[in-house]
Amino acid sequence: MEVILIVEDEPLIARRLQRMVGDLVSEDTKVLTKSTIDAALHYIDEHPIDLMLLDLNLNGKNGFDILQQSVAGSFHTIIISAYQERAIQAFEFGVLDFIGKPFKQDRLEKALNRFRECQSDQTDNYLVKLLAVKKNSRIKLIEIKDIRYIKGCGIYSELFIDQAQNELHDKTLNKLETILPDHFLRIHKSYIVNIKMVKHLESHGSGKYNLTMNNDDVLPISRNRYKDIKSILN
Amino acid sequence: MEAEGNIIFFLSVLFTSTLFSLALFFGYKKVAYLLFSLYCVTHSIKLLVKLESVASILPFDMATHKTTVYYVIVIMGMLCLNAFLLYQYEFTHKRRYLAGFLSVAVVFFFTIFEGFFLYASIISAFYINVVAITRKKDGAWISLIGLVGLGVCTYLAGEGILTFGYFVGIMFFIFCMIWALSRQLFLQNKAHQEALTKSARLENELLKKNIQPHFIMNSLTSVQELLRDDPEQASEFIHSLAEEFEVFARISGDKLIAFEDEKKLIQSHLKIMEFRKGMRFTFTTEGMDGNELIPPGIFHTLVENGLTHGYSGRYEGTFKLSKHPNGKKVTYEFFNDSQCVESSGMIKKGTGIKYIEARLEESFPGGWNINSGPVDNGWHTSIEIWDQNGKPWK
Repeated sequence: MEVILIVEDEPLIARRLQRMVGDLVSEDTKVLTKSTIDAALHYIDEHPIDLMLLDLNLNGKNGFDILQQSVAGSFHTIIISAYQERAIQAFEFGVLDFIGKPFKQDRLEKALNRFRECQSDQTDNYLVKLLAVKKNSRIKLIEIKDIRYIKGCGIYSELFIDQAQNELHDKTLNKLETILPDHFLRIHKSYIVNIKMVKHLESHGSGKYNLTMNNDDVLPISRNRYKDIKSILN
Repeated sequence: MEAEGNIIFFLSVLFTSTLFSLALFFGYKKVAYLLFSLYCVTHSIKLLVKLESVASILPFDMATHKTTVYYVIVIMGMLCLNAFLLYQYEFTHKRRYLAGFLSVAVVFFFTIFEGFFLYASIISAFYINVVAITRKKDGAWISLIGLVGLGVCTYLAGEGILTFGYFVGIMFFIFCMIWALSRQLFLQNKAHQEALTKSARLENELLKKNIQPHFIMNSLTSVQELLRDDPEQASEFIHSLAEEFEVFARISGDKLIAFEDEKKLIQSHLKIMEFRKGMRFTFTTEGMDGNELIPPGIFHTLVENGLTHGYSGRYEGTFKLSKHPNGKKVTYEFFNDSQCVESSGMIKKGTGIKYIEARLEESFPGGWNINSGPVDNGWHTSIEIWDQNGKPWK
């Protein structure tokens, strides 16, 4: 069952979101609302969610602290905010979409459609600059330009970073693919690479293809993706 | 008879300075400028009587009465100089000082040489100037340099080293004074411009409160929702919004408003927030009669700050404002019962408090104080205002 969590402190607006989102999803999707970030985080600790609709200005708290916690999670985040000027900043953190208040049904629909598509058209994603990872109870921000490649590890993704140690991120490769910019390619079921750090492509015959990174790490390319990757790299 | 050419030269400088000073007096209405022109006038007279053409038309014989005439003119001149400095540097008890000066001058007139009196009065002027420097008055250093020049040149004249030395000294002093005056005018003008800019900026900030995204966008979204299920409530909500807008628009240009208007602002705002937060708010005042003159938006800002932090999960909120006059001071105590134990750097100076401080400084420069902090069951702010002129507060 899919779970969408709305975090909004004003009851009238929360009611509106609950109703409109409810109208846009099937009965299999659970939509619930929490009015504080603490209550939301508490809920997430116990129950997995797929999408969070978050207001940046909750009871006077700093929206970006909250945002970092949210984007470090295994779920996608859509921001719903009165402050339009922070949209670009939010996108740099890797949110899926940013909706301004007041909002219309069709705008919400567009955002939810984006959430549905696992491998969406990524042309809007050039803004993402940071990925948030959880370290103990703190959030660390990684610049994506430093990420060489990402390896899927079950429900996590391992980030291989240039000149730094590896980090674990809570989102799956599928989810990451949705928010990362064009120069991050899914080359394999278990790998996403940063094209900018690729040294060369190799073919070893009988359907075995490899990519060598600029630090000489060698990664496999899946057979069905080989042709596309080759043309993109050239 | 002294060289007429030199006399004409000095006369023309003094004449120009007199006119210049008179023009400043008529323009800026400062008594100091009038006294300065009188200083120039008395010395012009001193020069005029040296001219053969003028001396001949006088009702008395210049030759025999020369010393007396000069002495009288010097007394007038020095009186003007000391008076000018007292007024320019805003001393208190000016008249007492001048009365004393004049009495001493009269005594000297009958007992001591003009020369001694001259030095004594320059020293007196020197003393006034030095005190002005200690009080950090604009341009005091420059006029001091002028006086030093005046003293030195007078001395040189006395020793016979510098002919017309006394008048050269006066020229130098006039030059310095004009320099000091223009500096003073420049600084005053700059301060005035800065004050205008600050006021404009504050007015702007006040107006922007209306359209802060968190206020207006969230309010409009709430209205959208109310329109669906409860149009009556929506109508009430919009009415309160309109009330708040109306007051803001009306008072935006004022530096001080009647508390009655501020109260309207607060009440409308709280009504709006009641709808938005689904809570009940009460606002009570104590000791306020509604006519108190206060800068616009300061209590409204305190209400906004109170609402932003610390009412999550609550159903009711209380806001209280009380007035405590105390002789020359008045203290406004503002309290709201928010829980503010949140650690996210809440107890820091927000832009709200900065606005309040700027407004207080605008209308009561140097005569206010603000203290804000958590108390047992909420948050407390006290604003003290006192009248710098020492008048008791109503």
